Formats: sequence, C-alpha cells, structure tokens
Amino acid sequence: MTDSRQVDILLVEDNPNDAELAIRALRKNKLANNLVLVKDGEEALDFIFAKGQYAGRNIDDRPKLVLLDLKLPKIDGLEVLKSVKSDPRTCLTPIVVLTTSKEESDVIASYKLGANSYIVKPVDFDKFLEAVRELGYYWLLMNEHP
Amino acid sequence: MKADPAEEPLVRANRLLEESQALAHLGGWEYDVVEKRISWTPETYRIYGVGPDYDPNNITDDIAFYSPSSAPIIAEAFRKAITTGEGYDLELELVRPDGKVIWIRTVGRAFLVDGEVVRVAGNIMDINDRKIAQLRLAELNTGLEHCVLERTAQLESTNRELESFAHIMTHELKAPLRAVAGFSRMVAEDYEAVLDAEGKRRLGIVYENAVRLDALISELSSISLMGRQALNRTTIAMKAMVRAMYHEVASPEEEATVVLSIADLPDATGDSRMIREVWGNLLSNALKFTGNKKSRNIAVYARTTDTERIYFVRDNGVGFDQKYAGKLFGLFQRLHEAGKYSGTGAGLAKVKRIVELHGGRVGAESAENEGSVFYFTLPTEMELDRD
Repeated sequence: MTDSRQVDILLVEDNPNDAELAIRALRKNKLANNLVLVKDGEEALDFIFAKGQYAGRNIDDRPKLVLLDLKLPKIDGLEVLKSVKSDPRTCLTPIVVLTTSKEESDVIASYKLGANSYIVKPVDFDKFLEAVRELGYYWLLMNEHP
Repeated sequence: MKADPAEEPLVRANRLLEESQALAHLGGWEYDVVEKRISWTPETYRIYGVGPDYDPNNITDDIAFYSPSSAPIIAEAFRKAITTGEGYDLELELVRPDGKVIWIRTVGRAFLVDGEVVRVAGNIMDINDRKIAQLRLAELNTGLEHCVLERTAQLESTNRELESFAHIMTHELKAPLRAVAGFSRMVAEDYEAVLDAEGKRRLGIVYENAVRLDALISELSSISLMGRQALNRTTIAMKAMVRAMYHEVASPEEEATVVLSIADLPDATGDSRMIREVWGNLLSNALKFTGNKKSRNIAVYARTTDTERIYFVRDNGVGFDQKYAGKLFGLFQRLHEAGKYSGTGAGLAKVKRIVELHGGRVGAESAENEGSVFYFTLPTEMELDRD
C-alpha cells in the first residue's frame, strides 16, 4: 500500500476497469503519485475518517482530492459525500464526483451535498483524459490546500 | 276514443285534462287552506298507488307515503307553503302500498289573498324512469372517473418504471462500453510497436464503434426522458439564439464560407434549453447536407399566423426525395447510407419530440439536389393561454 500519510488522491471506484482507466488518465497527466484506490463506500469512509482497517491513519492527513464514483457497493457515493461534507473535520476535502452522464439528477444532488465538481466518465478516452487533466491540475496544483 | 258531439264543453275539457295527465304521469292536487280540504286528480291516486276510495284529507297519512328520508322534506316544504306562501319543487321517493319505491317530482305553489295563504296547489309527476337513468348515469360517471384515475396511476407508475429503466440502461450499458473503448485505446498505445497497420486499423474500428454506440445510448436515453419534466417556458429571443447556435455548430471554415442569412425572427415562448437543441439540429443538418456544394447557402426566416409562428431553415444542399419526407423525423431513420453523413440518426426525432411537447408541428420539403426546407411551428402566447 502507498504511504497513506502522503495521499494526493483517494479514488473511490468499484469497477476495476473504470479504476484502471482513471488511474491511466491520471498517470498520463502525471497526477497519479500517492494514489489510494478503495472499492466501496464503507472503505472510503474508513479511510477518510481513519477508522476500521485505516484506524492507524491520522484523520488530519486529508487526501488532497477525492474522486468519488456515485454507484458503489455497501454505502453509495451520495452517502459518502454527505458524511464527509457534513463533518467539520473533513468538510474541506475537495470531492470530485464521477458520473456516467451529465444529464443525471445525481449531478444536482451531488452539488447540493457539497461536491466541488464532477467529471462525466466518457466512453471517449481522449475526452476523459482532458477532463481529468483540467480537474486534476485545478484541485491538486492550483488550489492551495488548507 | 271517438269524440261525442253531444259532450258538454266543460265535461270535455275535464276529460281531456284527465287523459293528458294520465299520459304524462302527472297528477294534480290542491289544498284549500280555509276549508282544510285536499283534493287529488285521478292520476295522483294512480301515482300514489291507491284506489279512488282513498281519502287524501289526512295530511299525516299522505306524508307517510314518502320514504323515511323524503318524508321530513315534504312535510317541511308543505308547512312552509301554508304558513309563508313559499313554493317548492322537489324530487322525492314515494313508497307505494305494494312496497314499490318510485321517484316523483312534486311542485307546490301557494295562492294568497290579502297576504293570507288561501290555497296551495301543485302537481306530482312520476319521474321514476328518468331518475333511475340519471342515477345510473351518475353512478357510471363516478365509476368512469374512478377508472380514469386508476389508469392514470397505472400509467404514471409505468412511466416511472420506464424512467428508471432508461436511467439504469444508460448506466449499465455505458460501463462495459467504457472498458471496450478505453482498453482498445490502451492496446493501440501500449502495443503500437507490435501492431501492423491492419491491426491498428481494426482496433480503430473497435474504438470508433464503441464511441458511436455510446452516442446512440445517450441520444436514446435523452429522448426517452424528454417530456418527463415540465417545460420551463420563457420568452426566447429567436434571432439571437439562431446566431449563437450557428456559431456553436459551424466550424470556423464554415463560418467563413457558408452564406447564412437570418431574417427578422419573431420571439417565441418555449423551453430555451430545448429550443436551442432544435436550432442546433436543424442548422447542423443544413451544414451537413450542403457540405459538398461549391456555394453553400442557408437561410433562416419565419412567418406568423393567428395561432402560430413558423420558423424555416432552407439550404441548397443535397435535399431528399419528397416521398420519404414522412420518414425523416423517425428515430434512427436515415435517407443516406451510413457513413456518408455523420450523426446518430436521432437528431430530427428529437426535434420532432421537442416541438410536439411545445404544442407545435414539424415538417420538411425538398426536391433531390435542390436543397430542402425544414420548418417547425410554435403556438403563439394567445394559443398557449387558451389551453
């Protein structure tokens, strides 16, 4: 496992193919250093709140960016979003939601719960690269981390 | 019955009255307030179902003929007529001595002398057949309303199911598609050195088709979801919208070479996000089908009638055979072979759907190789208010 103190990106994605594509897109943009992949909502919350299998982590070592898929096993993405954004210890962690289509009401629901942005996971890989580049740079490099 | 010439006029008038009362099932009665005497015509006896030996002079007995719900009503109305002179007109249930319940209409009117009620008279009509029909009709109507409500609820639930089906379909189909496209791209990139030109070409086809299927799924789900939300109607500055949409769909080269004329267009009322899509589709079609012409002309203009505004997009492109005009707006209908012009084949179906949601119509006219005119109508505000 990556050194969990220096996590830049927490990727929450249950579909291994989507995860591989996202990691590739991040790597191509040189954004994949210190990435942690978790596969369901429960594990995501364990990591962020430093409990369960991540009990040894320091909760204050916040990931610089969470990429959050909405359809997740156990606890779905909107629930994760709600928990993270409503807790004063974690609410400043930037969360970018990954969705299948921008038409979805999920986008609106995500923003209402405090999502910082969203990426549509396009079939067209070049578009995905582009979207990841823009958002990655913005949240990891441009934004001064609190 | 043969008329008897010797019959006295008064007797004759009486007979005629009696006959017509019998035919009409209409009985007459009067109450002489001063003499406290009640008299009935023969038809009244028949309606009550009693013989001529019945003495109607006991008001309590008369009222006892009415059903428990009707009796207090007629008693009160009759009392009021005698004391205040107020008339009445009621539909009530009467129970005949043989137990048969019939509906009657009874009308009473008071006659006054020097402010005193001296006489109350009226008639009683057997309205059983009409009343039964009326009640049955009301019953049927209630049943029908109930049935409509039930069916509406069923339809709404089917709609919700369809909506969630479209949602799930989009979601579930796109995930494997992302893998097909993404991983074929990965192979192309990572194994570039070992793939020969033909291998790369075939892999390219895999990728392109995945992207195309993705576009089809998006179009399908957006068409199927359209109309589920209420239209967000606002006033649309049409000319500005056309200009903006043209700018969006035309490439820089097209903007430089295509001759576009936009006449003054009347503003319209509609969902601006949707109407933008209509213009986007019509304009990009016009560009697409003038693509191989040396001089490319597109004209946008409008006409207003009492009830609607008609917007036209005319081009001098390849056109189509007018006999296929009806197929143009069907989903995934193409009049040109696949690959010749880009697009999913859902654009005009979407245009039609949007315009129809707005209460308008779409149409197209053309002659092959002489360009075509596509139009859509939107109802005027006055027409919209009328609905």
